[in-house]
Amino acid sequence: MDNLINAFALVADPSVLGVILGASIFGLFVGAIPGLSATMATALLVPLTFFMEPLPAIAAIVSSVAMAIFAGDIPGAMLRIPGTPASAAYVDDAYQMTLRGQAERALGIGLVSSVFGGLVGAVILTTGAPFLAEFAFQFSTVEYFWLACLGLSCSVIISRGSPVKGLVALLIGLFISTIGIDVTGGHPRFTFGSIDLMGGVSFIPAMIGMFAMTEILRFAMAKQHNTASVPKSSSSVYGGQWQMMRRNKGNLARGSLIGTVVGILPGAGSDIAAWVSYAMAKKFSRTPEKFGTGHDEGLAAAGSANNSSLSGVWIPALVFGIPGDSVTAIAIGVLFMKGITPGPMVFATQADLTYAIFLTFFVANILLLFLGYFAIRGARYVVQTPARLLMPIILLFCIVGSFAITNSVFGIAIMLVLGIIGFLMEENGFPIAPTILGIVIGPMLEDNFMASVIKADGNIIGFFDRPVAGTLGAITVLIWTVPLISMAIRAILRRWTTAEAQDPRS
Amino acid sequence: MLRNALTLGLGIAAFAAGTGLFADAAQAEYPERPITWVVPWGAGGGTDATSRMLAGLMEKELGVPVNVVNRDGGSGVVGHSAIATAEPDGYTIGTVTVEIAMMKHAGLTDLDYTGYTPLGLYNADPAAFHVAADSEFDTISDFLEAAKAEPGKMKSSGTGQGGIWHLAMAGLLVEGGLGADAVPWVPSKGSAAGLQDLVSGGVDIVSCSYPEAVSLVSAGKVKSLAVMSEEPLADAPDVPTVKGETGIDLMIATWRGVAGPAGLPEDATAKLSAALEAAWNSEEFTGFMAERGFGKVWMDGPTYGQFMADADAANGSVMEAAGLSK
Amino acid sequence: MKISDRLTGCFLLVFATAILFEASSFPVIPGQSIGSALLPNIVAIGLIGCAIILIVSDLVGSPRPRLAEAGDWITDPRRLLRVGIVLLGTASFIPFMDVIGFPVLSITVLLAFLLSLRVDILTAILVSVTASLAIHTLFSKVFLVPLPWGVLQSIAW
Repeated sequence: MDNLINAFALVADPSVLGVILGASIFGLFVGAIPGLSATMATALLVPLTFFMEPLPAIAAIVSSVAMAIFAGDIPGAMLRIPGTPASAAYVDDAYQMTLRGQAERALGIGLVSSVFGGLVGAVILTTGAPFLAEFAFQFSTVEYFWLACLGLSCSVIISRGSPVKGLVALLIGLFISTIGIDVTGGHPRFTFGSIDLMGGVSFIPAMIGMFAMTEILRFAMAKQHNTASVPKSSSSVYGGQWQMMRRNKGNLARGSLIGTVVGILPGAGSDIAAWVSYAMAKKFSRTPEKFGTGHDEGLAAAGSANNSSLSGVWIPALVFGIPGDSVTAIAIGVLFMKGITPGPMVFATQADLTYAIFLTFFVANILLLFLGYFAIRGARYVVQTPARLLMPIILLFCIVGSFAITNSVFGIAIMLVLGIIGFLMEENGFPIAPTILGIVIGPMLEDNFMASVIKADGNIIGFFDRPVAGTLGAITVLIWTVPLISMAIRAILRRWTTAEAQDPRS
Repeated sequence: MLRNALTLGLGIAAFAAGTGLFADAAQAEYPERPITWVVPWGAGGGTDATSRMLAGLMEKELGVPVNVVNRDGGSGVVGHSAIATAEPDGYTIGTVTVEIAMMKHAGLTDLDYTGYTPLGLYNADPAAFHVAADSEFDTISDFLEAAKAEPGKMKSSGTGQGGIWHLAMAGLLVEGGLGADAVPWVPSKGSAAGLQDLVSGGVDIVSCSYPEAVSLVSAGKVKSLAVMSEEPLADAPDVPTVKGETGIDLMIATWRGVAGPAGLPEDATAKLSAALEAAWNSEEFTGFMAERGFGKVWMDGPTYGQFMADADAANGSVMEAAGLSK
Repeated sequence: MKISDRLTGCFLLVFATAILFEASSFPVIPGQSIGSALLPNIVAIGLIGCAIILIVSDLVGSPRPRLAEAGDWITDPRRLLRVGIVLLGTASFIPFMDVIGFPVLSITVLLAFLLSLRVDILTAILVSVTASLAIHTLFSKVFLVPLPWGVLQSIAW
């Protein structure tokens, strides 16, 4: 308890609060610009953290990343361009709401869910960090392989329209993920001697291409351009959100838990958390057909998941010094620089500081509730400009954003090619979400499968003989087989009942 | 209207070209504009952290911004190529790591150490071998004995296929009189992923540098068996050397240096080397390296160049012996 | 741009065959029967299966859709021009960004796109110049992205 009081005193320092505020505004800005990721925000903060005490240094990273992940929703909802990969899962729902004149409401749902998820994640972080880190150590490549399979199952759930076309979209994504040097084989694949291709297809330019470039092409082909970019909106940011939360309490709770758990597992991340949570919400929804058409359930579930995963990822980082993503990798470096070695000992030797870091998660998320409002209102002015002035500028942002990820024109090439592919796919009824998911999950699936095969000496038992692996494997097998079995049973039943109905004697 | 636009665009281009030519005539002293520092690995890793630290310190020495740019992917080929193929004007330099002495042998590229003007080596960390804390092995000799008794049963990890830690493992086995496949390599995305797999019971041994494993060692999850250096590390005096334990005289280490593209002008080379050496000697850098546990080693440009050539030959022969070269 | 499923299917068949062909040269992991070719092969086989379903269901369906339709934008010179500017303008950054530099290239492409959208010339110049310079400054100064100056190198700030 003393620790908590001391931690409060540390965080309440005006200079710490000032740093949090400044970093938050910076994070909102970075997240809202497509192509600038939360990782980049963190990397840019590193030189500044040289001059700071340990607490404000970490607080700056925590708060800027939390803001960036929410801010990624803003261009997603307004323009169908996710600002960060974590917003890609539900961009269609948010954008459809905007088209109906409910931009503020869509972003309000994202904001409230983000804050909710962030706070739940912070509570779990504060109360269960050492215990949960032990849990994460149960995961070897076999468990990660099954996790990737579960992720792929999500694409079946999220894709709408023809299942065959959804599968084609997923396979295209998986193919794209194989381009470059294969980690397991050490062999370059589909590179045709190009050094740029050896590095693989970067995910963010791919995403910008498939979402934003597709949108710009459609705009260029349209007849009328005199409209505003976004329909007039009469909705409000906070209005009706209390009712939304009550309606979606299941989705918010599940989303936050999924997000935290995915975050704890090193190598997964807020984007995967959002996809999984969105798919689960659809799976358990009474109205799954509404998903993707501007429905609040998926927004609430995935919006809370991506922010709660931000807390989860700190658990292995602080307890064992294992970075779950590139943000915590940088943050661990900053901790080392300040003379703090992450490990179970930090809870004993640096208890005040550790709890103060946890507290900054609460402070940042509460601050987000207010700052988010101004960000949404501000973005509103930007997109009020006529589309024919705004669209060319967005094109420029896409180009610069793609360049920024690879620091070379190769990023622009990826963006352009995938933009054309994405456009052709959408025109012909192929969903693009499974492709994006395939690019994200492909490496995780393949690397962990190969590693597991080597470890099991090619024996399939090796995929089930550990408790967590066996459970995850069984769930995956069930997810894929139950719908088939139930479909078969339903078909038999239908034949049986129709046969009975046709039989006049019964 | 479009023609207007084109004319205007061309006009701007022509104007710009004109002013460009004009200003080029007046040569100022190097450096007069920001320098780009290419890091061939991702943000957040050890190479990124050390490079950013040095870049920040060199900025003060040179008086112009030194901007770090990550060009990761392709087992380092992308970034290393970007440094080698940059304009040799002194405004693009980068971190050149041990992979430059391996990627050509692995058949990934034709690029090798000859593509650079070496400026200085700033770090080297020897390979070390780690097992889970509850492992039955307490010495590297025990481990090699067990591997000899049951070849293929135990698995090792630490980096991707053909990476430097794979080389260390395979080299240890070959020099120890076992086949490189006596302890099959399980490729992982990096040492952190390999260590995670070690602690979760997925693999039996991980080779990576000591600083990469130190958090898990102090958390009591991992124990280090041996390190591939002449003397035990200052940070881990209790961990014996491979040579002392087994007599296997093989030293494989990861190292990081700074270089520009081949053919860098002499004045730029001299200024950059001096600034790098000053940054390396600074208190900030020394403290930073000590805290992270990174081995602080210095070689000036020409020495570093010779070192890269030697490493290239040495790694080539180990890779050949372990069946990793193409 | 409507492409019938049977044409898409045929294209996917060719694409999948190319993947299988290219992947046949990939090495296996030492001591294993599988290697770098596994996932590409699974993808290719999956694509072949999907392609056959697409082709067959398109052929048996009635009325059978046309093989391919470009859409009405292709006959409208102005819209065609706009699509051309977006695609070629973006593509022009790939070979020319390093030589010409970001500011000049960006102003040119932006101006062309704006004019093709019937924005009046003064506004178009104003928007393209301010947007290009603002984005350039933001990215190169704040986010430290090395956007090349190209021909303007000498007046770089």
